[in-house]
Amino acid sequence: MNVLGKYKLSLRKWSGLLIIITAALLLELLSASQYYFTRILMGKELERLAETELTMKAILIKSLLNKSDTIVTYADSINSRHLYPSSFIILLSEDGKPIITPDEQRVTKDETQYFVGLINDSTVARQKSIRGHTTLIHFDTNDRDGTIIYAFMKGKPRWQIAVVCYDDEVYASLMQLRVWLLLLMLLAFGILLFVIALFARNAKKLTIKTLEQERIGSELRIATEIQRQMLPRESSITRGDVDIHGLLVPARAVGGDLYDFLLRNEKLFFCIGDVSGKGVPSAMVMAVTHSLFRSASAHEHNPARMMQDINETCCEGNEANMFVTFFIGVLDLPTGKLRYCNAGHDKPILITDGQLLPEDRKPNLPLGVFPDAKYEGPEFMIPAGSTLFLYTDGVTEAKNNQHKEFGIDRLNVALQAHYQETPHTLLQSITDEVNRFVEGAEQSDDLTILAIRYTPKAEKYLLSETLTLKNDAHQVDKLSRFVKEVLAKLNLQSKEISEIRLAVEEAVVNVMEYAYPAGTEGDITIDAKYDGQLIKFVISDSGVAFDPTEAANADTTLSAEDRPIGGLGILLVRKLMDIINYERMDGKNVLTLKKTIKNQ
Amino acid sequence: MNTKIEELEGKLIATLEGEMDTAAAIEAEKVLQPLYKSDGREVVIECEGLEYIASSGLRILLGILKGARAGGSRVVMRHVNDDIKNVFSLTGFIDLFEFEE
Repeated sequence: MNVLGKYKLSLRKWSGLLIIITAALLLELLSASQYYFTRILMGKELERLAETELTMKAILIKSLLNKSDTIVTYADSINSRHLYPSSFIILLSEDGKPIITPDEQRVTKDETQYFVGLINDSTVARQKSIRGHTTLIHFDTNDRDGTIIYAFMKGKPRWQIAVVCYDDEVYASLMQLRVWLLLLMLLAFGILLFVIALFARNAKKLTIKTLEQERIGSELRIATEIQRQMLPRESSITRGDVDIHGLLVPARAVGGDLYDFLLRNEKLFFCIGDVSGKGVPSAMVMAVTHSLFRSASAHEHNPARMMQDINETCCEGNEANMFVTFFIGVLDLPTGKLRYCNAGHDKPILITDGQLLPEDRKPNLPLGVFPDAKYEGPEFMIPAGSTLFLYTDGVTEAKNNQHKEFGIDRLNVALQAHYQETPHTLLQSITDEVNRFVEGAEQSDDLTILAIRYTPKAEKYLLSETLTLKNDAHQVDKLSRFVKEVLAKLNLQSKEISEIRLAVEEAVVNVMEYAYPAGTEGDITIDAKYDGQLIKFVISDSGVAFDPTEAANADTTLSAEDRPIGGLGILLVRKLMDIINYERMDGKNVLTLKKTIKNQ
Repeated sequence: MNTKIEELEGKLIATLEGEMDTAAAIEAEKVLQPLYKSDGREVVIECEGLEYIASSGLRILLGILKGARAGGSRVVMRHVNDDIKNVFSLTGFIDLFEFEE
């Protein structure tokens, strides 16, 4: 918009400049032609004046001639009336003899003789004069150019009258005009140069600005693309037990809203957030928060602990005092247990059987406020068929042209109307409702929505067997027999059998070692289930809470001397099975190992 | 499983037979104890009859290897089958030991 405005402005400047250029050109043209043009005009004028003068004088002279003794007096009278300072009149008889000549003090005898000769030699002028025309005879003496205006008198005697005038005097006023015009033209030219210089400077500024804007524009486009790529690669995950869909409509090229989700083991990690402010600064904080979420979700599945970690980093060097309202949820898909932590974000809405259940817990502080802020989060079971709806204030604070907000009530009504739709359609319906409401008013804030529908399917197993062991390593041979018996029914290759057996053994031994402190006794239950595709071992115990999936992998690149003795078991479980998932349920550690069976 | 050790031509030779799961490893470790201190003698682990090994078994082998290296000698794994080699490679142990057929 701004760029276009600048061009409009320059167009106005252009038209002004064009007018000045045209005016200057006209002036120049006029100035160049005026001399010749005016010379003709003035020449005519001169003739007319001379003719009048001559006629008048002729009448005078004729009347005077009747009293011939006064002729000289009248010659003086004639010569005292001159058109120009040094012009003079010569009166000649029909055959060219001078009758009245100028006063010798003004014009020398030789000069008079020269002009009389000039007139008498000019046969063409003479012929024209005889026919009654006034003619001009141009002359140039050594120092002055001039014109003789020459005519025969009308009536008798047919005397000739000649007015000698010098060009510098005739054209003095014209020369003056020409000087004025020249000055005017120079002035116009000066203005023109000034305007051109001004324009050039502005044009340069504009060019620099435009280039800069283009550069910023292209960087923004790249930033937009980077931000877009930060969102989940697919805007949805759809599988049998869960359907999640996200949508982010930025108000500007880059924005401070974010959402993300990912599956790790059998858990769905998701988040939604809104960074204070707008534009590039918010986008940068958004990017940081996003990567913190990603790295936290790689090793942690407790949302409160994730939030705590993210907050600590967010607070480091937060000079700009930006803050982020953030919501992290972790949904354990096999059980439907949702853990979440809300850092000052809009409360999500859980829709079960058409009932909207907004979260009623007091949210924690937003991220980035205090580094030592404590984050807590509840956990509860999501009923099958429920939809969890998360949003940013871009939805509820979307304004129409009357500055009215969409509001939570309209959102609730919309959700009531559309909750049965799939997350993908639901998001579309809600944004449609918002768009209908705002009626094309400019979007002032990013709008982000995330919808999760949880639809666990009842599992059917072709095989289901259980073994209970004491936490004694010597009981492992019982486990080995049990696993071998189960796997024998699946028609597997020996390599697969020994791999699965090894993984289960390592997992169980790990539980024996860590869940029950030395000297304490307890039971470990192993459920083996097979649904035709997937073999699943669920290992549960009533020992102390222990999550083996949080253990770091052993470094397999160390030398023999540096290799620690521990950490091998869990490494093998991870490498040998497809999925390893831990959940603390009803006071029990529940570890699930899954592997897809091939070659059936 | 069956575990035995013998000394032949200055080498300590351990023979592992059967399935070395966690329970078996506890018993086997008692027999293999002397190999932790090989005192510069080369250690040969004969695995022709070894069908299975869990991480507890690998730990014992690592202990033997560390002892041998400390005494300036080596540990040679003989006739290791593919399934067990797979476990060695998953854990990175394949680069620590020497293998002979």
